[in-house]
Amino acid sequence: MFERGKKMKNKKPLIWLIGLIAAALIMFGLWKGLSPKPTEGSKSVTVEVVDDKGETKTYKEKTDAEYLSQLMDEMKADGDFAYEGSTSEYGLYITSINEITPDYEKDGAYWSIYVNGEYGQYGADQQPVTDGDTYRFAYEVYVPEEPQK
Amino acid sequence: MTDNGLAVRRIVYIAVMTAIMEAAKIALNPVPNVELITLLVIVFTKQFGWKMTLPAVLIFAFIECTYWGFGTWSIVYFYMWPLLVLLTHLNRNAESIWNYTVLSAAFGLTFGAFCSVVTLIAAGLKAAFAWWIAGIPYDLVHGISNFIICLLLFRPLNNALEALKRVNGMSW
Repeated sequence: MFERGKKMKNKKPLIWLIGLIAAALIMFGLWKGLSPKPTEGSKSVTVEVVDDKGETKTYKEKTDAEYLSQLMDEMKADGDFAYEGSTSEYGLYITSINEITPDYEKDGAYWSIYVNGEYGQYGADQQPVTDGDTYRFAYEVYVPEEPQK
Repeated sequence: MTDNGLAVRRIVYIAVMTAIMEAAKIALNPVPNVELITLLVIVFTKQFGWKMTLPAVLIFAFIECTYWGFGTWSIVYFYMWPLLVLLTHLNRNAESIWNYTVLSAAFGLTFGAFCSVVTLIAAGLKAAFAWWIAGIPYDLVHGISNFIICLLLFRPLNNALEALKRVNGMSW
């Protein structure tokens, strides 16, 4: 039975505790140092929306937005672009663009983000906006691979 | 007690452990990266052993997958919780609460790093590293909350289960 007031006789956990705090500080430093940095100033970017029929709508934007989600908010305010999203532990999850709402539960459909033609590694609220870049929102359907016989 | 009676009792205990984990998970779903599963897995493994807890965490992982849908994260659940069972089993004779608190905090802190193994296999080192870095704030919350939860709740929960075992004359 674990009793109250029992002191830490074995110093090993204390060493591990100090190690943990050090690891947490190193992780914080890595996050601060290596997280994607936005560039500031006026930027010209292209935003493409490829809808569920494969049709592409292209927007040419001038912006000072630091992150893609901010650019999306600016475009939304302009009126020709609409999006809805929810915040999860992994950041902004885009639920609909231009009133097209994929249903992942139903058919594996979702909005993906491409940066200069490559699959994005960040959510819209972590993706920095860089001058000259092309951001594409593509309606995609996840199809699980058939198990090999 | 007969072998059959003992087997039935074990099945019931595994079912109850799974139900408690599932209820705890749902209860704290609105709070990202704050969870009671780590504490429960540690205490269950210490009190009931890995043979009872391992099936419970696997069933729990399966229920989570059926509830949220199968995805790459499903693979993570199937190796992370068994890994915690193994680590607790290796520490099962530790007498200080600090051993379990440190284990719990370390597990939360490194959860993202272990999860990125799936991204490493699926998308390569660069993507896995970027994924891990982006998730560090959540790992820090996970580690700190695990530390506090285990420090506060390990002792009462562990003592309650120990008393329960005594009352029921269980010894596994």
